[in-house]
Amino acid sequence: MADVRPVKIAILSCNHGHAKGYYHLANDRMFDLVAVSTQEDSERLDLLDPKVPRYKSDAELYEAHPDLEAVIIASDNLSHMEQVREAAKRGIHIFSMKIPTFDLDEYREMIEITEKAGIVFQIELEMRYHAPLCRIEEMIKSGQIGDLLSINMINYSHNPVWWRWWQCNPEKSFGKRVELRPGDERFRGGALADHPHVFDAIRLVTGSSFDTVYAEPAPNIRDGVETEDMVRIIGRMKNGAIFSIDPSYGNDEQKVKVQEDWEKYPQCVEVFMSAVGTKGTVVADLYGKTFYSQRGVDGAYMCDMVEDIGLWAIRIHEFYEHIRYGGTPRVNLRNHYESIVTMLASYDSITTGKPVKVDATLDI
Amino acid sequence: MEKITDVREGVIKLLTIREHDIPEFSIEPRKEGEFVDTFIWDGKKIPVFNMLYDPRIYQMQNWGKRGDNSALNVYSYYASDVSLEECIYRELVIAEALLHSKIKKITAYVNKSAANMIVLMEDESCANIDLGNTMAPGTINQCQHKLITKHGMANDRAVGTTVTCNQVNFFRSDSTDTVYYNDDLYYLYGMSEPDVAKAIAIHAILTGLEQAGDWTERDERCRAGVKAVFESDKRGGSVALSEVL
Repeated sequence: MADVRPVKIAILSCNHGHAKGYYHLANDRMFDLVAVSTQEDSERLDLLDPKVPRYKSDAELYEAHPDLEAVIIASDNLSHMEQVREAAKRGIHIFSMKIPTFDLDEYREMIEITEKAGIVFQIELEMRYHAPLCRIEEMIKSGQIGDLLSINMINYSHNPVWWRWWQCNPEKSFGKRVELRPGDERFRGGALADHPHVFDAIRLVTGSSFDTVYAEPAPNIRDGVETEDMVRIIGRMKNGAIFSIDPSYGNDEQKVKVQEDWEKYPQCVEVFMSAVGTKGTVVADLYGKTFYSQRGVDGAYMCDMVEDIGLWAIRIHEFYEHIRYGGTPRVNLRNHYESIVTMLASYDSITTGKPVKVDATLDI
Repeated sequence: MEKITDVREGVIKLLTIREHDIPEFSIEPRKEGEFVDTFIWDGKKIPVFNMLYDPRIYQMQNWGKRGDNSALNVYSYYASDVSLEECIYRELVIAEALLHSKIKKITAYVNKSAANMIVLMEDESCANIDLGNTMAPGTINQCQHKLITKHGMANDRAVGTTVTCNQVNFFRSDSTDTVYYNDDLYYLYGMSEPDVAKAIAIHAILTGLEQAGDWTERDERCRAGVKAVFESDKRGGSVALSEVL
């Protein structure tokens, strides 16, 4: 058996939806989950091994664990910049949630300070690790479907706002309060802000970049939510293919305060991708391996995605490899920049009501 | 079992079994530049929106309520023997029916045999439509129409599926190609799905089940919508339907 040197890691804040997905590192042979920092809205700490120490602030955690090697920044989007600064200052590797920041000055600062510190900065984009996406990428790039004419993606999910209030708080989610468009009561920071991985997936399978985007919100389906629920983006890639992205919170959920028995729509997250080529059309369900059950609590019919048996932690294991053996994560700050810029261009399109040209030139 | 093979014959059979009088009527096949057949009856010429009498689409029309709808998400991929213009027209007719609103503005991108569009309706709901027609001639249309509303969602696909579910599947011993059948109505056994839908639509008009009074106007609107899609792509911006109507 290989001589594994577990990475001493901590999870910060624990109020991001994916935080609890890493509580299992307490029992992972490649990591030593030495501690977590928590705050009032940390999620499902009951699922965390009780032996893992918990601190009320990042400062206390850092002080108690000076030998820490890496952190998972699992907080609201507004808190990321400060947590990146602190980790970079200490030379600690960073595993970031999918939105490092929507502020492009902050984004550039993140690149500069983490590169200067020589640390690994990996961004969690779960779609990158799906085999069906690899298949579509191969079908397109090998020419199996002919010339690519259009590439389309739907990512429908629940809105987590009932148990994760910050997710639809304009400041905490988008970084500041920006009205969606003149005369609209909603603000930036909803469904569009939550789904960078669909932009990334389209770039990946096409091997191209976004050229022009046009976005239009539909009326919210939930009352009391001040950010966009439903939004659609269409446009053209630089290689000429047209695209569409629908990252809406289109699937209903139970309005619970703790994320337990919360599913209402049979499949909480649906991810479809289709590609039209001159030699045919691909229609794919990227979350398509599902099993079906009738839930005991209320008799609801459920359609749940099956897990990758024993390999769920593949993205965090990539992080381990880069810490121990070097190399650049497949999703890092530099190559994720275009997806963030495209999301901002989509918001600008909603504001102006016009198509927006994407300029993702990174001048550092 | 006796098979019905003709739409007119199908309409007469449906009227006969319920003991309705058989009026004078005719069905004019679509001409160049048209997207649907025309039903001629009682001095009127009515476009036959058979796509609205696809059983699942019909059911969804009655499920949604005006003012409650947010978005209609559509992907619809066709065989190459169906023109892109016809794909667009068909989906615009369905969008108006499911959202219970009229087209106001279209923003679209077109690339040869593919078109993506956002159709803003008069009530601010949106139809988001992805289309293509590069499948082999005769391939069954693969689509999803998912209507998202404040009171839930309706779809012509089951959750967890992306392609058409067939009713009768024949897995052959001499080929890996599956043969499938989708016979819709006992009384019209033997007719193709589109023809069954045409016969039922005409029967509905003749018996007063369908108030097709605005179908001619809707036909004009959706034909203008087809123009708006290509104009939007050319212009690189949105096109109000009033500009091309």
